[in-house]
Amino acid sequence: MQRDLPKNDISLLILSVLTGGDRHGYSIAREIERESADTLKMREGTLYPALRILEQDELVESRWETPERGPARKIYTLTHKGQAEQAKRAQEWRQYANVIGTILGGRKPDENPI
Amino acid sequence: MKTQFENSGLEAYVGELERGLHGLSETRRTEELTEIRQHLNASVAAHQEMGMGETEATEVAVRQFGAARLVSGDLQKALWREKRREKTRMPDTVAAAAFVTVAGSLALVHILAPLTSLLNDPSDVRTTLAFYVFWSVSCLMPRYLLAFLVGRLAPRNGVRGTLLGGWAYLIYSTVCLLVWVATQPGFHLPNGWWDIGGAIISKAIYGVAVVAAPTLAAWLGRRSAVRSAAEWSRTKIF
Repeated sequence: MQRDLPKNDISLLILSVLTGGDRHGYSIAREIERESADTLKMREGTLYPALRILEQDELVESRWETPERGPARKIYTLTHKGQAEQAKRAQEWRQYANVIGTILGGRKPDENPI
Repeated sequence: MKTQFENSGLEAYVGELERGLHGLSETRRTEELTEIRQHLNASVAAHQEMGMGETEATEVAVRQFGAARLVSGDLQKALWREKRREKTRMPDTVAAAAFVTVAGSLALVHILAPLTSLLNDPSDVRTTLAFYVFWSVSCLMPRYLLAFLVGRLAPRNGVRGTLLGGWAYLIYSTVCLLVWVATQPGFHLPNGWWDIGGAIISKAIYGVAVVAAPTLAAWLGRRSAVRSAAEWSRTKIF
C-alpha cells in the first residue's frame, strides 16, 4: 500500500522526526519515508514551506553547519515549544485514529489510547 | 559523480525555482535555493547509487520534489506569512498614516462647504443635519475602504497608521474649521459661542467617522488578512 501524505500531517511528522535528534531537510524526508516503510509518499518540496512555518511558530530552529567534507547544511532542531506541540498534536492524532478505528472495526474506543 | 554545477537538468530546475522566488530578497532566495539544491543533489546521488543514470536520477529526484511552480509558490506563501507577522516598521506606519490623511482631504472640502452655508444662510438645504451627516459618511466611505485595504495589505502597520492618520486629519480639519470661524467678518465672541460649541460637537461626531471608523475598517482588514493567512496555512501547509 502507498498513500500520498496529506499536507495537514507533514508538520506533525516533521516534529516527530526531530524528536529523535537534529536533522537537515533531506534527512527528514528520508526518515519519514523509512519510518513509514515507504508507505507514505510526500512531495518533498512541501517540506521546506512547512519548515518555514514551523520556524515562524518557534517550534523548530535552524542553523547552518559546515561539515569537514561537503557544503554547509542547514540543520533543524526541535525547540521546547516544539516538543510540547508535538506531544499535543500526537495525542490528538491518536485519539482521532482511535475513533476512526472504532467506527471501522466496530470495537469500543480505548479509554487511554497510546 | 558529477558536481552540482555540472548537472544541467538539476540546474534548469533550480533556475525555474529561482524565477518563481523572484519576490524574495537576494539573500533569502540564495539561502532557500542553496538548501533545495543540496537536497536535490543528495536525492540524485541516492538514486544513482541505486543504479540509475544521471539523467534518470535527476528526473526522479525532481519529480519527487514536485513541480517548481508549486514549490516556489508554497515557499513564497510561507515566507509571505512570515512577513505579515513582522513587527511594525515605522516607514510603513508613516506611509499608511500619510495615505489615510490624504485620502480624507476630499471629505474636508465637503465638510467645510455646508458649514460655510450654515453660518451664512440658515435656510440653505445644505445646513440640515441630515445633509451634513450624509456628506460626512458618504465622503468617508472610500476612506473606509482604503483603510480596510491598508489593514489587509499591512496588518500591523495598517491599524496603527490609520489611527495616526485619522488623528492627524481630525486635528488638521478642526484647526481649519476654527480658524475659518474665527476669521468670519461678523464673528464676535458672545455670538460665536454657539458656533464654536456646535463646531466642537460636530467635530466630536465627525471624529468618530474620521478616527474610529477607519481604524475599525483597518482592524477588520487586518483580521481578514490574518484569518486568510491562517486558513491558507491549515489547508495548504499544515
